[in-house]
Amino acid sequence: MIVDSNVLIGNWPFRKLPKTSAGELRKILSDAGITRAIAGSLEAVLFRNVQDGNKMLYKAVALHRDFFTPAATINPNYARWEKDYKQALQEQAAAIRIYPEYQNWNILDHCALELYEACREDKLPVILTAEIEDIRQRHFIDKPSDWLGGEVRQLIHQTDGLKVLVVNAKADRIREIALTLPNQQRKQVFFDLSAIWGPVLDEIALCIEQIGVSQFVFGSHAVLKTPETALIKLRLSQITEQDKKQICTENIKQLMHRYERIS
Amino acid sequence: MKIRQTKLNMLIDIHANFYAPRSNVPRSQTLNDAYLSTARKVGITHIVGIVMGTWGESSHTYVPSLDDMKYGNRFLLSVIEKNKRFVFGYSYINPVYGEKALEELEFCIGKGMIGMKLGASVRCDSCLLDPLVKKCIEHNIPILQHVSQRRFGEYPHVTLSDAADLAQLAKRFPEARFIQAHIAGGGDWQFGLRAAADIPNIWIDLSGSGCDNGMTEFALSTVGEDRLLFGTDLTLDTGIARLYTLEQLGANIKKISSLNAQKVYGEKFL
Repeated sequence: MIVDSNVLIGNWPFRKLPKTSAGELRKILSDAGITRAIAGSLEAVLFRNVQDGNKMLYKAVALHRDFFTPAATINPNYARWEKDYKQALQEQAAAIRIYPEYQNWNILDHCALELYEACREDKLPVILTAEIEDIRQRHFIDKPSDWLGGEVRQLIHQTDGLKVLVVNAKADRIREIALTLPNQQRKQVFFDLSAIWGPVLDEIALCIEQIGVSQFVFGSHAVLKTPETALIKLRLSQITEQDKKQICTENIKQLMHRYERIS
Repeated sequence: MKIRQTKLNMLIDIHANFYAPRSNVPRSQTLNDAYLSTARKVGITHIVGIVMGTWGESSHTYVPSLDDMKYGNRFLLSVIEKNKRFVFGYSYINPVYGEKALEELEFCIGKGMIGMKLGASVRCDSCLLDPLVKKCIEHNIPILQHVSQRRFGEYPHVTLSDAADLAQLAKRFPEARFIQAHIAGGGDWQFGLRAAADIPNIWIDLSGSGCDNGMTEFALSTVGEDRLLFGTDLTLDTGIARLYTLEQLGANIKKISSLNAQKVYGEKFL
């Protein structure tokens, strides 16, 4: 069983994506060997009212709940975000995706701390994305205010018990966040594999050696990236089969309690 | 876990890196061994490699000094010698060194290297390249050009070329064969592929760490299966994944994995 923690369904305005519907994406992921996926709305990243993106997502995955579990997008700097959050609970979302870099707020803003507190109480992890697209290829109007590793560190310091999943981060960003946190707090932060380099460098093996396998989950960053790549890099990695199993299925249960309940 | 593989008699990696002992890359010698063993594991049968000087230890990776250029090329010759018929090589050249660069290229070709690799020492449409390109035409070997697919402005310490610059050079030398490096190596790959689309003497190296959904489809529809070459650069996983995508798209995998490369390098692989 392979659970993909980092999937986005929908369209991106800066380039055409092949096969963006939930059904098409399910087939691509299944053909690659992925058995379950936590999916967010790609449109919600740039919508002023992210809830429109969430509604599209809930509708899209309605017929595929045996495969997709939604991850709702919340903008805590927007009116009535609490209502969107409540609906996310009703929809049995497994996580909350946030995009401060695209929505003009800071990870440590007061409004965000309120959201984190709600997530902590409801045992919902928060998903932060390091890069929606590689900085070297972004459209000239795609200029997010990328957050800093130090801000994530501060967030962890201030929110005891909140679990954070950082997706699509390269190995140096992962080390910057994880290795500067005390051991106990490090357990609050998880990372997906989607932007970690595979062989020859095999940064997966290095990261696990330095940080510990318990903090890593499988993630592909589909539909923006091809899921095959994340699978192949894991398969070719020098880490043990037991570690691979933990990354593919076990660790996500520690991170997403609600996912465990509905699976 | 098993690695799914396309059954191929020949899989030529046209863009692989090796590291000499004097190198700025950590674990460099371990990486050479790791690359060779993983390449065998995934079914790569032939490798065309480069040593980019000292990888920044004593001169810039993409702007090697004369000494570092020679040092890297000599090390690559030793790797080729130890891995006969498996590893082949590009002579890494900095055109700024004029006659000495040409001598180094001649030396490497004389020792059996089958291509020339250019970094970012000068813009690739510079006339400094002319004698080197003519030498490659004379010896029937291709030129692998490092590019940022689309450059915006200038970067310190390097003179990066992009796909449009390479197109200019390729038009000036229609009898030469050029390989546009790592389409997935960062930058606007749609720009890179469009720039090469109508230039018949540019082949696309499919290597690079990126794995954008839609990239392979766009390469196939814009440039076509006759001018795509399998390559890995620093990440084997992405290159292998692109082969699978091409297979799913119904492309002629034999062309992309070996037949196109045989044509570009002059049937050097047995």
